[in-house]
Amino acid sequence: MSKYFHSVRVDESKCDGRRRCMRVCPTQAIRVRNNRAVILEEKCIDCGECITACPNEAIVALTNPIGELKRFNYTVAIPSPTLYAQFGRSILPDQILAGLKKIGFDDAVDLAIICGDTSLATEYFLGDYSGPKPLIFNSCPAVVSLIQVRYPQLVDHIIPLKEPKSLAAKEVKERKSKELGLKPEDIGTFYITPCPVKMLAIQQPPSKEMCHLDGAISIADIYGPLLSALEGEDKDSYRRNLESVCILGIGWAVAGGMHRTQNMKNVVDVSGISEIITTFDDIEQGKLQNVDLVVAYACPQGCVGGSLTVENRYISYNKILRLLETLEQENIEACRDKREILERYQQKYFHRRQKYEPRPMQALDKDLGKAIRKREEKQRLYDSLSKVDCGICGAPTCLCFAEDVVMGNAQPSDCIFNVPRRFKELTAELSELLDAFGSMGMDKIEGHKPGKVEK
Amino acid sequence: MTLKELVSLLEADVLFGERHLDDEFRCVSASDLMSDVLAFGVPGVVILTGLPNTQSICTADIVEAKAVVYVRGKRPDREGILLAQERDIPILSTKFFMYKACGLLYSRSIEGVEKTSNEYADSMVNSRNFSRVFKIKGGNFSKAGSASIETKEILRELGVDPVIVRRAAIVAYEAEMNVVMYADNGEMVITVNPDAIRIRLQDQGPGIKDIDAAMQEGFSTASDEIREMGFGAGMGLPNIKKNADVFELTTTVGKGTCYKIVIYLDSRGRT
Repeated sequence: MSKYFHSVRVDESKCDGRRRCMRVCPTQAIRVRNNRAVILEEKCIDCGECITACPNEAIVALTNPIGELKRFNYTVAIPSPTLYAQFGRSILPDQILAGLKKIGFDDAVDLAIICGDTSLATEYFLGDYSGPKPLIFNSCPAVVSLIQVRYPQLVDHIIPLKEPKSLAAKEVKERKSKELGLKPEDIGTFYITPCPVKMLAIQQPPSKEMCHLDGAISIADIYGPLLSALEGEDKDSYRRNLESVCILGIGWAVAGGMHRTQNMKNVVDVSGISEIITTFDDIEQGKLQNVDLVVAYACPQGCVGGSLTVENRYISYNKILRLLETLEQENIEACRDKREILERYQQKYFHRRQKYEPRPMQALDKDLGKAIRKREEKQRLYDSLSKVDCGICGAPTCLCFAEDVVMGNAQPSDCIFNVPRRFKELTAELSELLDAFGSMGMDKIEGHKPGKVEK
Repeated sequence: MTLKELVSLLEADVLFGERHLDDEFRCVSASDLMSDVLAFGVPGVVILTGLPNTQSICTADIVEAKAVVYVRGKRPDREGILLAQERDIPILSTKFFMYKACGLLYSRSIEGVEKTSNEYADSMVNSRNFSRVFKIKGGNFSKAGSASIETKEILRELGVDPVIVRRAAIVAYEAEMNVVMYADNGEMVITVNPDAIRIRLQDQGPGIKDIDAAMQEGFSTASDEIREMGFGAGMGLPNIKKNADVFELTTTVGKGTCYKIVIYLDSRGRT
């Protein structure tokens, strides 16, 4: 039984060890051993970069197939606002929700509205907050994992608010079980997800608070059936649908969109894991203390860059921006009553009580003295390596390889640059042997002319 | 080599000390003359001897030996075993003669004691150090902070308590930034051993005219340009002082400044 659940898996029958995944992995969690990719579960944060990189589709995201809907008496789709981003302003959320109902869900709820509520709650929270800054937003589970694994000291910076999709699932289950007289467990709530990491948040929530979602279905899986189920609409219904779009929540799909229409001035948006790592390094050094909130998305451009989306991330980013612009021009603010949200906020409806637990990477050794010796060995080995990070050994960088050797997970001979050296050594040994034969008078037998017969 | 490997190499019986078998030892002292063992024995040594009396165990205790191996099938008497138990020193017995036992260990590249204990102690301490040297260039803001990021990474790999990692990272960063902001060049040496993290930084630069003032929060001689970049708020030295257990600063105006910083890893640390 593995320690951590991961929603990113290698399909060994399809993997031919091409190492593309290994090179793109932002946390160096992939090794190629015996010509197959292996994911080191301790280091993996389920960001899904490897899924996009693999030319063989050998890395798969563990999501639920649409057939799983049959397990429940009643099913509700809770689509990420990123689903709307696949279509933009030509096909609006209400139409998409209607489409979802046609392809097998009994109901579909607009998650953007709850996202909007949470945006407001975040604004209120920042107003009251006086702890260490900056706070870090928790909408991206890969970012939360990254903090747990690599920045355990920043765990306390994660904003203590609940995630909208979990709130939505809870709300739906409560409402529907009352309306329909069903038990909450008979109602299946399915998140329509742009990336595998959201699956992780369902199977193994980073905080121990219960997650009310029953599964996640990938946008890519649902896109085809959904597209054919969508119906055209006339001008009137378009206008009506436009008026029901929640401007606060729709922006959650893109970096910078979550606070775009709000009164949060000192918010920084970061997207892409390598950018996030640079920024978190800075936070650890105490650099961003004047920033209120850092909203980080593991995928470039935000959730629209997720590995389970269909549309090009820049196009869908633009689609969301155009939709936001239209809503702004038309002065549409279809969100729930702000007073009601404030009231709920004051009742701590949005507050997350459980903390995220740090899960720091394993040290080289439990014993500090031994760890120091291993680190020294690693350094010595690394200094002797070519440092070209060719990846032929199966580790993404020479530094990773040095660590693997010290930890007993690789052999120095796995490094291709060591082959000529070893060859030289062997040749030297061999000629020494032949010389020794020569001095014994054996050269006459084989006709070998040793270089130095006499001592 | 661990004691367990020693046991299988010498086909030895473990008379006492099963629970220490995973311990490592580094060298061997083989002698029947306990005074020789005392003269050259070092902590962590394994004593090979044909002298199965309590004397050998007392000697082992004094030199802090890892274990005592009796050759030629010899075994200490009951009193000897009781003493070994009392002092918690593993004792083994091999049927091999001294010559063969030594030969087997020698063939596995186990060193004998040759140096005096003081020399050996020094080398032991050195081998349990991990050091990195960072060259820091004054005025190079684009690379600023990279030495402290690497320091942090190393401490994390070593499994140092995250709270201490953070303190060390802040100290290293502030010291590094002082070179970047004010000096021409600097060399920072980070040394970690099981007791402490030591940071030594020597820079070539203007030096600090008034150390007492520089130690005050908010005191800064930074230029406007540096302040515009968000640095030079006068928190650097006070921040180092706050996070270090030992902070010594020596400076020569016109020449440079030397920082000596210690953060303890054991109970002396403040966490």
